[in-house]
Amino acid sequence: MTEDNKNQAAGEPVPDSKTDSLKGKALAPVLLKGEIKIFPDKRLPIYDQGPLKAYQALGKTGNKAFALVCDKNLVPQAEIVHKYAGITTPHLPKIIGCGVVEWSLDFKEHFVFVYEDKLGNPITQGKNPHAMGLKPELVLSTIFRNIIDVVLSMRDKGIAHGNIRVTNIFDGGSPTFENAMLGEMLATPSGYCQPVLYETISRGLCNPIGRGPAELSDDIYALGVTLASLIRVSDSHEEFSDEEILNAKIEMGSFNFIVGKSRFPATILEFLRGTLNDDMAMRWSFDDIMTWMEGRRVNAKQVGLASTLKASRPIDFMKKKFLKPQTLSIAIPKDPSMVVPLVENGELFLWLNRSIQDKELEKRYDDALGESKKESGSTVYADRLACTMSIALGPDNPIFYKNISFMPMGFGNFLADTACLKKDLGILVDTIQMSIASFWSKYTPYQNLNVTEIVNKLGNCQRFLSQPQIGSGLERCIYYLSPNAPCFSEKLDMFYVRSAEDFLNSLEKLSTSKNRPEWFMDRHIIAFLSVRDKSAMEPYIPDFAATERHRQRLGAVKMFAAIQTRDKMGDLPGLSNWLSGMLDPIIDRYHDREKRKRIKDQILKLKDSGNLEKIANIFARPEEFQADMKNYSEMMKHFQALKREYLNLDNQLITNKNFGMEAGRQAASLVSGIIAGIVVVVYLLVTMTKGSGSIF
Amino acid sequence: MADEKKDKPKSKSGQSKILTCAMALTAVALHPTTIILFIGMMPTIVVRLTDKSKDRSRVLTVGFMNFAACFPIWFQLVKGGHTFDVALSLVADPFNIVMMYAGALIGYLIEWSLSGFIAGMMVQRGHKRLEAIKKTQDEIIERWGREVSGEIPLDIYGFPVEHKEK
Repeated sequence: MTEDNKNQAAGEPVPDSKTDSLKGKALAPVLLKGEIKIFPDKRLPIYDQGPLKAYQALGKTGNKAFALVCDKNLVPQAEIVHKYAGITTPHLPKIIGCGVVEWSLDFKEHFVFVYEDKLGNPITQGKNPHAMGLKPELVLSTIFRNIIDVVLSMRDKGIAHGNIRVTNIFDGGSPTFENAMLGEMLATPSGYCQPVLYETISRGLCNPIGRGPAELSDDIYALGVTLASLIRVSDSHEEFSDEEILNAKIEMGSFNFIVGKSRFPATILEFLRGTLNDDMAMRWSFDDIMTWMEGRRVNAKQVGLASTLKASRPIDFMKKKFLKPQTLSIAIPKDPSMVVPLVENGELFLWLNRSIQDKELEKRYDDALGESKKESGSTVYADRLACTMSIALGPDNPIFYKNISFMPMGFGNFLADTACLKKDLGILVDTIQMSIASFWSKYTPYQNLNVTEIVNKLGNCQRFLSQPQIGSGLERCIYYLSPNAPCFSEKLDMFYVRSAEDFLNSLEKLSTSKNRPEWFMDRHIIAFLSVRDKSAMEPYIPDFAATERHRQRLGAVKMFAAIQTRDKMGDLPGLSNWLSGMLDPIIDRYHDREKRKRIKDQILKLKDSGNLEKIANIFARPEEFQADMKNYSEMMKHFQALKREYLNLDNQLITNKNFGMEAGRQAASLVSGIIAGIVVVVYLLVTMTKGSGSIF
Repeated sequence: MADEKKDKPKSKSGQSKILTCAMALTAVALHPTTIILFIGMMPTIVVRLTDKSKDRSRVLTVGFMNFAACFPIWFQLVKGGHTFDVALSLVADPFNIVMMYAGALIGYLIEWSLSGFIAGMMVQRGHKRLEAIKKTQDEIIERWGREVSGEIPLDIYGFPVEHKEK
């Protein structure tokens, strides 16, 4: 046993391999909300959840804790944190904080969950997790009792765990399992870390990211598998692949598959029979479990398969023989090109009609055929036919399309994961555009409000996809369908942005970076804010959609200022400085250069203040733009008048040799008149004073 | 309206006929004065007939001075009884003729010198005005941009079409 393994086994932190490059240097603890310390160099692999890594942490009072660091592509269940925090059971790790931290290993922001570390060691330590061989009495009085307490508490809060499995159970520090605890479930999408064995057939058939939120009945099923794994001494299917496990569950039924040849006490068998029922309607409810725990008899329920339909003769597909429509429904999407001849030559219909003779199935077949013909002749016809036929043959199953399978309720997380990892989104777009979820919802037995809601949402997404303008399109679908997804903009790659406030804070941090982008917004950011903060973004979408830069920048200034004021954010000097340098296109919309200079001076004074509202107020008076425009047009007229005068005068001076002569003559006549008048008056005065005679 | 327009020249022509008649009658009635002014104001009459300018300002310039020179002669006629004989004796005196015509000459000199001087001033003023316009235009361009001149293509907001936004 290596030193790390020994530490791991003892629940002691082990150094993170990522810190190898930083050997000899202790990494400073990362602070969550300024008071919870997380130690990036102290790994706790026993608390890992799938790909998410756990690290040692200290609560604000110095209590031992552990932190799970989320990956951006895996959207955590942050929306139910408040419900989780309200659960008072001691058998579930108490959450002491969650939020975004700047992770010092990759210098990116991550969402983290920090829990009290009272879990102890995994109960599977040193044992086979598929068959632990514990005594039923011990299991029922310790581990099982505690898990039931957790499930009950969660049911009361209206949430399900979705992560119940043997490897997620811990001894709580007691080797007798008295304090056994169930691990957390918030950090990953519901069911993402759950092995296929612990999932119902329909959820097991999905890609892990597309399973959707678990329900209480899924927890009850996982509880049955967990109990069986804790008690049984051997597991003959230990080496089975996921596909083999699912096929076996479908063929034999989950109960038969899980129990196999293992021996269980009769009471345990009764429990397993009830909880491992593949028919959700027939599966035990939580009240049935409580009844059973009280030692009373639960009303008998038959062990049933998800689909009991079986043909009298098999049908050949992909060189295999199928007797059950459900198994065929899983095989069909694997080779859509083979489905077209199977359907078009009538072979499939004949098989259904003659070997199964189920009217509902035949109706579903007809509907599926009709639905597929909408795409007749297109390149995706075979895929669509395979998809709809799969739904018709196995309405319990998830949606299979090309190489993906998902429950519509898990589609949002699937889309978010695919978008974040920059995988091909075309297949997911196809499923939205083809209304496959709507077709699935007609026949699925999982009829509840969640299904109706997601089908309606996917319908809205069709509308978004048909609107290519900024703020809509596929980006909007991602954030609309995955309400907890952070913004996946490349500009915000280093950040975990969950709100408009986070966005501004990210820009503040980016402002001092050498690699800061040229412009703040892109399709992702606009779509993200349109969905998460409609009131902040909606008024400015036309500005951001405009091609004129001054409109885009004016929209940004106003929006940023509105967010800063509304969320009572502190000063953002970096952002105000950055923004101030981008305002020239707005300033240049004033014709008056003096006005431009005055505004530039104002901005210069405000650029380091961090107060975006004051900057926005400079441009908040449209009457100033109007006055500028009015003055400008008057100046244009004045300029033209001057131009005409110049040309006229210049022309006169050049061509008119008698220029000014007219005025000269008029002046001369005036002078002459005045002199003449004076002469006459003087003559008369002289003559009158002399009395008589001539002056000459 | 058309009738009124047609009536105007007729009435004008009528008025001038009456005026001409009145003047003729007055000239006959005051024939000694008529003789003095006709002979004394001969240079003005000649200028009036030869002056092709629009406002006939030269006639006024020469006429005013010519009249000022004729006025003392006419005054003597009045003092002498305003008779035909006295009028003839006055116009027969070469000194009187020279004096009256000298007045006209002075008027002509005033017209010649003053109009040339003022025309020169006007040209100077014109050149200064050109400079002032140029300066004002430059100031307008400096404050409102080259686009204010209308010499470059503009968009609907009055900005140059080739304007490159930063």
